[in-house]
Amino acid sequence: MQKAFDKKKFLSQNSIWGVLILMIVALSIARPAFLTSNNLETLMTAESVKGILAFGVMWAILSKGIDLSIGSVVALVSVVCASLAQQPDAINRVLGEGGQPLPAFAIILIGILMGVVIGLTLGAIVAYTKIPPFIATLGGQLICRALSKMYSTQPVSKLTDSFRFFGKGKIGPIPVIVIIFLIMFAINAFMLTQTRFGKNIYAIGGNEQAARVAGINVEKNLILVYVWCAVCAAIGGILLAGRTGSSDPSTYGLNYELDAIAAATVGGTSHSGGICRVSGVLCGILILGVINNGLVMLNVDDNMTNVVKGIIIVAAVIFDMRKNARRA
Amino acid sequence: MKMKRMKKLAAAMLAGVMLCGSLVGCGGGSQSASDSGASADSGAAASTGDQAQITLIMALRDEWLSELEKAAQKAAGDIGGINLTTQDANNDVSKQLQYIETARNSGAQAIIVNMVDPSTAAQCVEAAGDIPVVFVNRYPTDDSVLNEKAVYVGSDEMTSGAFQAEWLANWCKEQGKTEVKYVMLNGTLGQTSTTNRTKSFEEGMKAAGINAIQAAEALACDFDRAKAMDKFTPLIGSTEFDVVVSNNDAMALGVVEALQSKGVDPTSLPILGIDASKDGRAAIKEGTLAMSVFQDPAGQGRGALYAAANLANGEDIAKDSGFEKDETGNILWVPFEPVTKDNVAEYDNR
Repeated sequence: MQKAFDKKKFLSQNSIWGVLILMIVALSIARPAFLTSNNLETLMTAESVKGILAFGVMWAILSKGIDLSIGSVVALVSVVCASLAQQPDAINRVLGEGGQPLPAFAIILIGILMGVVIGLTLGAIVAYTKIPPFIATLGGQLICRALSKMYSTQPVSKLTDSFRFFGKGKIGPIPVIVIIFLIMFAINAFMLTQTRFGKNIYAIGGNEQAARVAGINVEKNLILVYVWCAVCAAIGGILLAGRTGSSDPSTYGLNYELDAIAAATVGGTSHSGGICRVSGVLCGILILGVINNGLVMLNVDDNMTNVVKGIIIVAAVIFDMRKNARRA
Repeated sequence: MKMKRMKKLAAAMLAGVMLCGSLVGCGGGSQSASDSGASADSGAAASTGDQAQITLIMALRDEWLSELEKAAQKAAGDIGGINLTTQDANNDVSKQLQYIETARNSGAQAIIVNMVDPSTAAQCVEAAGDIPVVFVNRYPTDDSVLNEKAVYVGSDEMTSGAFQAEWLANWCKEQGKTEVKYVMLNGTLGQTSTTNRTKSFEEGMKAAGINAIQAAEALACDFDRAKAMDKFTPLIGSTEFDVVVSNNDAMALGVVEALQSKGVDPTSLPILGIDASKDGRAAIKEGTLAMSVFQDPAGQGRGALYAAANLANGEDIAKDSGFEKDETGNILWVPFEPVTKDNVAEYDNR
C-alpha cells in the first residue's frame, strides 16, 4: 500500500521536472544564448537567495502553516549585517564614521543568531497561542520591516570584501552563493528524509492530533520549524547584502516571501500540509528562475512576465489539489 | 512538566525579543530625535504660546523622502514658531486621506502632502476643507486643482530624463554616432515618476536628432538595486547595447554590480542614473556611473515648509523660500541639476 503511494508520488513529482525540461528546450531553441554556462550561472546566482528562502518556507507549509515574515527578515538581517560590514571610510556610516567593520564570520554568526531569535519568537507564538501562522507571521513581517527601516533610513553600502565573498566570490568557476544554495538543498533534503525531526513535521502537517497521540511534541517541533525558516531567511539576507554590496531597508526582500512560497508551491508542497519533496521545491525554484531569466532574454514585457508567473502558480496548485484529491 | 518549562522558555524568549526590539527602536528613534530635536527647541524658544500648526504627511519614508522630511523639520526650526507634525501614510491612499482629515480636525493651519497617488489630488484638497494644502514632490495628475490655497512645491519630472538625454546626445556627438542602442531600467510601472523620467528621456533623444533604439524590452525593477541586478544580468553577453539608462541611481548601481560580476568593466560604457544619491555620487567619482540628475530633497522639503508657513500666515508662498514661483503663482519649481564627474564634489554637502 505504502509503496503504491510512493510510486504515484514519484511519477507526479517527476512530471514537474518534465515541465522544466520542456521550458528549457523551448527557450534554448528560441534564444540559443539561454543554454550557455554563462547564462545558467546567472540564473542560479539570481535565484539562490529566493531558493534558500523557499527551502525554509517549505517546512512551514509542510507543517500546515506559512511564514510571511521571511522577506522582512531578509531586510532586517541584511541591513544589520551590512552596517557591521561597512568599511571605515563609507559616507554616512551607520555605526559611526571611521569605525572598524567586524570580521565576516562574526557578522554571519550575528545574522544567523538574529534569525534564531526571530524564529523562536514567531514559533512560540504560533505553537502556544494557536493563532493562525498567517497572522502571527504577518505581524512578524510588519515588525521586522519597520525595525529595519528604523535601524537605517538609507541604503547601507561599501561593504568589506571579506563579507562580500559569500555573496559574490567564486570557488573555481562556481559562485560561492550557488555552492551555499546547493549545500542548503542537501541539508534540507537530509533533515527532511533522514531525521526524526523531518518525519515529525510530516506527521504534524498530515494530522496534528494523530501526531500528538503518537507522542510527538508538537509545540517544540513547530517552534523548530519557524526557527529553521527564519535562519534560512537570515542566510538569504546575508547573501543578498554580500551579492549586491548594499542593503536598502525599504526595498530589500520586498515580496520575497511570495516568490519563495510560489517556488515551494509549484514544487508540489501541499498547502493542506504533510506533503512535500525537496527535489520538487528545487524544481519549483528552477522553473521560476527560468521564467524570470528566459522572459528577459525573450524581450517579453515586464507585466507579461508576472502574468505568466501568476498562471503557472495557480495552475500548479490546481494540479496539486487534484492530485491529492485522487489519492485520498 | 516539560510543557510548562517550554512555555516558560518561550515567554522568556518573547520578553527578550521585545526588549531587543524596543532597544533597536530607541536607537533609531534617538538618532532622528537628535536631528529634529534642535529644530523643535528653537521653535519653542521663538514663541511658546501661539505656534502655527503644520502637518506633513509623507507617502512613505525611503532614503530620499526621509531627507525631504528632515529638511522640512530643520526649516521649521529656522523659521521658528512652528509646530510641525509628520505622519507616514505607508503608501496607502485611504490612510493618507484619513490623516489629512485628522489634521484638519485637530486645527492644523496648513497641510503638506506628499501624495501616495498623484491622481488623488482633488480628494486631498477636499479632505483638507478650508485648510491650505501644499503638495510636495509628486505633481498632481490633474493640475487644475492647484490654486492659491492648493499649491505645489517640487521638481518637474519631465526635465529629469531630458538631462539624461542631453548628456547622452553630447556623448553620441563626441563619438560621432547618430544611432545609439540603450537598455532602459524603469522604476515601478504605473508611477508618474517612472513614466515621466522614461518619456522625457525618449523625447529628449528625439529632439536631439539621435536615433535611440531599445536594445531590449525595458526592465521594470521597482527602483531596487537587487532586482535590477537580477534582471539585467541575463542581457550581458546575449544582447548588444551601448548605454544603460536608469530611472534612479540604485538600479544603475545594480547594473554596475551585474557587469562587475560578469567581468565587464562598468566604466567601458556610460550608465546614467537619477537622484545623485550618496552611493550614486561615489560611483560618479569612481567613473562607474557616467552621470546622474540631482533632485534636491532638502530644497523640496524646505520649500514646502516655507510655502506652508507662508500660506498659514497669509503671505506670498515664495517669501524667503529661495525659489521662484511659476507664471500661475501656484507652483514653486525646485530645479533638477545634472551631475557629472566635473561637479559631483559640489553635492557632497547639499
